[in-house]
Amino acid sequence: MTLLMTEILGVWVLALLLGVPLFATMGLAAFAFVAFGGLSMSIVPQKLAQSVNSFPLLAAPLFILMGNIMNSAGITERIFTFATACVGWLRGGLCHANILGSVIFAGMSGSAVADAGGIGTLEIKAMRDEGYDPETAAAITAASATIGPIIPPSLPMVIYGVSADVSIGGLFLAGVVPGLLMAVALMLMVVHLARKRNMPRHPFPGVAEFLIALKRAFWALMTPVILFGGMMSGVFTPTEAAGIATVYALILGLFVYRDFDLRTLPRLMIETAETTGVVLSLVMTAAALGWCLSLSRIPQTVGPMLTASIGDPLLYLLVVNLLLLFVGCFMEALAAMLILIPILVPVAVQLGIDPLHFGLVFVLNLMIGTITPPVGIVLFVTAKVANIPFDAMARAILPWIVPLLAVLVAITLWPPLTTWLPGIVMGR
Amino acid sequence: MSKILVALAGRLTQAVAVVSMLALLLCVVLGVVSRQLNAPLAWTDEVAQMFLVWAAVAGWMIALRHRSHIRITMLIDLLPARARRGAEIAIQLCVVAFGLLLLRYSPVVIERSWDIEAISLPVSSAIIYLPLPALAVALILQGAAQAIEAARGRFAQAAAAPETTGL
Repeated sequence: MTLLMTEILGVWVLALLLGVPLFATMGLAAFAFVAFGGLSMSIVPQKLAQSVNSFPLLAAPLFILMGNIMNSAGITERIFTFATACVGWLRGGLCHANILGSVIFAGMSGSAVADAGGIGTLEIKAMRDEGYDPETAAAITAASATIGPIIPPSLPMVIYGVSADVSIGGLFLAGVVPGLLMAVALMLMVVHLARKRNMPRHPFPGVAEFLIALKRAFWALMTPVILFGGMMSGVFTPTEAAGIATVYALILGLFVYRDFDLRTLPRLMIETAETTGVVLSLVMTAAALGWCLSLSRIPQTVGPMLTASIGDPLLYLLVVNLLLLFVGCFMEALAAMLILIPILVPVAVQLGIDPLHFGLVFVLNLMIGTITPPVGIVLFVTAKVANIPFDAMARAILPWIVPLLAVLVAITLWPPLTTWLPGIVMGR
Repeated sequence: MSKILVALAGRLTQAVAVVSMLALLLCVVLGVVSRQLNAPLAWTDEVAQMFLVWAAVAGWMIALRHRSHIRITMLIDLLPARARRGAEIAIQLCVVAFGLLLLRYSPVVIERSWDIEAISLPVSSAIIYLPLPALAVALILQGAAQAIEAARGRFAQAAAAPETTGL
């Protein structure tokens, strides 16, 4: 069966590269394996439905819905105003506010695309109004959007946790320090460029203005507190936290800020279902193909080969970084994640790499991949929002990738950056 | 007539998506609240999971219609128009083939699991497989429609805004 699967995977890669939708390539490969392997064909539809009949995966649509409600309820505008009051008086103030706004929004949303298309729209408009060139505004927005899925909650971490069988709560905690480091690294880059390009700054707002901005954003700022407080106190699981936070966002929009029109809820639910459909269609077909892969014993064959040839964990992490950065340039993050998890994770486990550490390295690589040309979904979204050509966007983003790569190197070389917080909170 | 049917099917799928999303949200919240009130409900998790399957399949079908599913078009975009057209037809026929296989074998799973009861409620566990035949029909029809469009030399772009999909 190993030979059969190897042949099928060859055809599958070809179909993938030739533009067949990813769900169809994986679904057909699974059907081909059971057909030629003499197994029951009904296994494939069974695996498709069973794979999403999962409690942890419920967090995926709920976090997407929460982000959509936050964006529609005027909550993002309050967050950005608060961030501007905090750091807008520094040179290049709106760049700093852009990053701080993304950090706060990251504590409520789990998607880089939601960040770029939601709060990013506000950030780019404000920066352009203040005289920043659109390329800089779009580039800093795209770079800071990658913090979204690193600071919890995080949609990619939910998918990673379910696919690689790693604690989602643990991954959420492991993302806090790297996410904050990404913000610091990007801010240092702003400090450097702001001096060089003589970027504008706001006058110091004064305590009164700061307090007004804080008051306007206070209840929105409580979302991460509720999420974390609930999860850490054991009141609810990460999945349930997603549900509670969604209801909290609805209450904020409807009764506290009163900016949310209940009639938009069905539209938001349809949009959420569509995103969920795109994400989970891949999870479903990848689960069917993954079952076939395990039956064919390919991971068990490739794993020892990789372990034997790359015996050192650090060397393996280096190879994985290079591979994921390369793949991230050409493939959508979710697709790359679902294809590579069954191959790369078992080897990491065999080499004794901490699963949370490896998970963070994996997800951060792919998030950087969302802003690297030629295929970077966050680049596409921000270029569209800023109304600039994609090639200008691709050039403008390059300096902003450097600080993110520096953080990637740091978390790769020093595992406590990811494992320290889960260790303290979960007693690992 | 066919346009009316397509529109009706689209509205029905959207309605299923909205109801499933609302139901799964309510079930998750109800699970937490009932537990805090010291009167935990046994069925909330299982029902929420069932609605997740329905929401995922409805979303899959909506994304099909909006052509927002993930595919790598870097290479075929480089092809000359004639070859591009042929490649697009072949690609859509792959989607149709997947739909046909799903249509043939998903009723088998439904039939086999029909008599097996869910763990926490007196309903059939086949409920999670029920939307699969509808998905199969959507795959066949959408794939065929796009293959015909490609044969006529039209390659429709994704209708969905990119910010509505992706990680």
